[in-house]
Amino acid sequence: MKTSRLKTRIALALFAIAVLTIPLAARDGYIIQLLNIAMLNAIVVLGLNFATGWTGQINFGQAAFYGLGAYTTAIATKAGLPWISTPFLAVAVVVAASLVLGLPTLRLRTYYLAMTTIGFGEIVRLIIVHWEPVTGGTSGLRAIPGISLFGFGPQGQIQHYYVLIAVLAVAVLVAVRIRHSALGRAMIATKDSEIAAEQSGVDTTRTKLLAFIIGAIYAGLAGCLYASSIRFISPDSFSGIQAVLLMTMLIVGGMGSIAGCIIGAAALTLLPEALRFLGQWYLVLYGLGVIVVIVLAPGGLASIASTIRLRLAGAR
Amino acid sequence: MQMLQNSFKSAIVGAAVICLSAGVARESKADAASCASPIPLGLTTALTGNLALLGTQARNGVEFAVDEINANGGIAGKKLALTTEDTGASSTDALNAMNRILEGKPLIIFGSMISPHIFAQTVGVTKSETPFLVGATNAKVTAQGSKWLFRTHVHDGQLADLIPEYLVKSLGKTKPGIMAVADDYGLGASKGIQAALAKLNATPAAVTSYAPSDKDMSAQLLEIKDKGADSLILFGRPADVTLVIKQMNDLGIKLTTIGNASMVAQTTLNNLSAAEADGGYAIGGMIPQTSTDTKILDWAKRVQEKYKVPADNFTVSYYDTVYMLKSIIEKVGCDKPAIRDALAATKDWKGMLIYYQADARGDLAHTLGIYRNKGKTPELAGPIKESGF
Repeated sequence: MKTSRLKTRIALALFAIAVLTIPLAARDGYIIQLLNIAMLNAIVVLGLNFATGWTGQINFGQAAFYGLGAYTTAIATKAGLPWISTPFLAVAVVVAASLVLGLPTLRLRTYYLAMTTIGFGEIVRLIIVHWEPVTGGTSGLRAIPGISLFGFGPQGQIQHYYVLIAVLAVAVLVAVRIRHSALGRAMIATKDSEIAAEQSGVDTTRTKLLAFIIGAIYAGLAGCLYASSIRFISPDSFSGIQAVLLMTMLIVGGMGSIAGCIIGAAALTLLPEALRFLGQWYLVLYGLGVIVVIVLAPGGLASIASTIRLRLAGAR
Repeated sequence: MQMLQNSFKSAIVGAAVICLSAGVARESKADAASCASPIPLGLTTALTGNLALLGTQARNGVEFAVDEINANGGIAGKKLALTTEDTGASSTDALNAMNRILEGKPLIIFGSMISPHIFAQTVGVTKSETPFLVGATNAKVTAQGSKWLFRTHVHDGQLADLIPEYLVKSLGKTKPGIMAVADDYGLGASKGIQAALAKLNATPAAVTSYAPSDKDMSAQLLEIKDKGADSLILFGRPADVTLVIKQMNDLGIKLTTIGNASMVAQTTLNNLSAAEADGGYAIGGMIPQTSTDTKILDWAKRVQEKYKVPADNFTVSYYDTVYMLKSIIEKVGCDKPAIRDALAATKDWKGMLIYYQADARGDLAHTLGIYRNKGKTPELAGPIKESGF
């Protein structure tokens, strides 16, 4: 048992060293920017995992929360507010929005909730598109001020990379703590059987609402960092297509698995870029890859190692 | 002695002239010869997703010109090497595509006609100090303050001014309904059209829009009809313009309709009957099929044979852009600031259908075409120029 824990720790340490030294090998350009976007996606997918992976609520509104965080940050910093205030503002806006959406709708189940969250995403998109004086409409907002804490902030993509690594690490730690708390167990119980959970004294509506709000906070903070690091936002980055992509990242990575969220986000952000050499055919291979993972590893990419281990043990 | 002195002077002057001209010749050769071989060019455009129909026209125009130039020996004997990256439909993907193109350190980058993608890419390209030639139609694209960005296609601001002017002054309609696609292209134009109508003391009967993915626009059409519009200004993409015209016909709404180049695009006309298409007006970039020049018609035919889609105003614009750059590189070589300065100084450069002239913002196209469909055949009613050009 102790040996296995030691092995895990060594593997994690090696992984951390590898991740921290990537910028030494890659130049400050395409690769780093891509990894930055993958990390932002990972934070959003970690948030989605609370409601969908652990609580079993199908949520297609995550891209809209991501967009709300990004637009709040962009509008606030362009209006002259200090950057330090924007994560708090982004969180306030997404919490308010998740309460407005969650309170009346989280009693709905399965595809009814999915339909409602799709509608929410579309409402947010339409507001962004048509409220042009504030949101820039379909042209988006550009020249967004960057991250700045008392005059200091990351310059260039490599420095942003380290900031995002740190934020992702905190996001993972928070998710781990929540998973092992009473709330985390209530989420899993709600997913397994709402009736059974209620019989055991779990307030499932409250649990679902909390999962929804925590997920929205993750998305809102990621949106805040997206706007401040990419420094341009437009509605197409937070559309329904993005919502489906986030859900696919969760499913392909491994629903309910923290590692799966990161693997799924990294895989589906990097894979289309890695397949660019195929020209227009890359979408075919990309789609086939997603289908293969779903069919052969229903638990997602994160489950592959344990599946292999189990099969090997069975063969013995 | 005097004769000898004169001969000596003449010899020196003659030698100096020869040396000077040899030097000049060597310098102009050196300019073109300084280019890398092959000369690297980058293009980012939408080849997949819901904007692919538009984005491929940029690819077709650039690629067709590059292939022609290479087949004819390249520029000063150097072939052009075009790298194309797909932006998909999202600005984030457009940014990734541009970062990838920048890694290849191209001499010139062509951007697509999708304005949000260009807004996302401009900062990075400007930092790299690479001439950036785009066809994006949002008027604000060239107002970003980048010295490296140039546009070689007409923009929504020009259309928004000229469509109401033609409708009111030439067609005598003063109460139009406005219908625009609710994206960067349509909504920007709709606002401009409303402002231009106000200047002409004309009030729109109704202002409506539809989402890019909408398939039923009958509610908006009925609103326009019910509010007593005497005409329709229609601003959209070929696929949705086709649907609007078909639904107008189904609802029995007969209004003089004027719109952007989608009204006369081959992809629109291919899906309409002659009766549905007949009488529609458009103002927009120059489309090759309306030309009477056999060379241009032959070019359009060759493009269609190669890519299986008809060439449109964007294909012409991107094709012209490559040839414009060829002429600039032949003059100033492959020095990026020199190319940028030459682009900014462009005056009366003759393209396939129009002359290009740079203004202070970096806009090079100022001539548009007025078209009218005769059955399914668009006819050029005449060119119309932006005021001041």
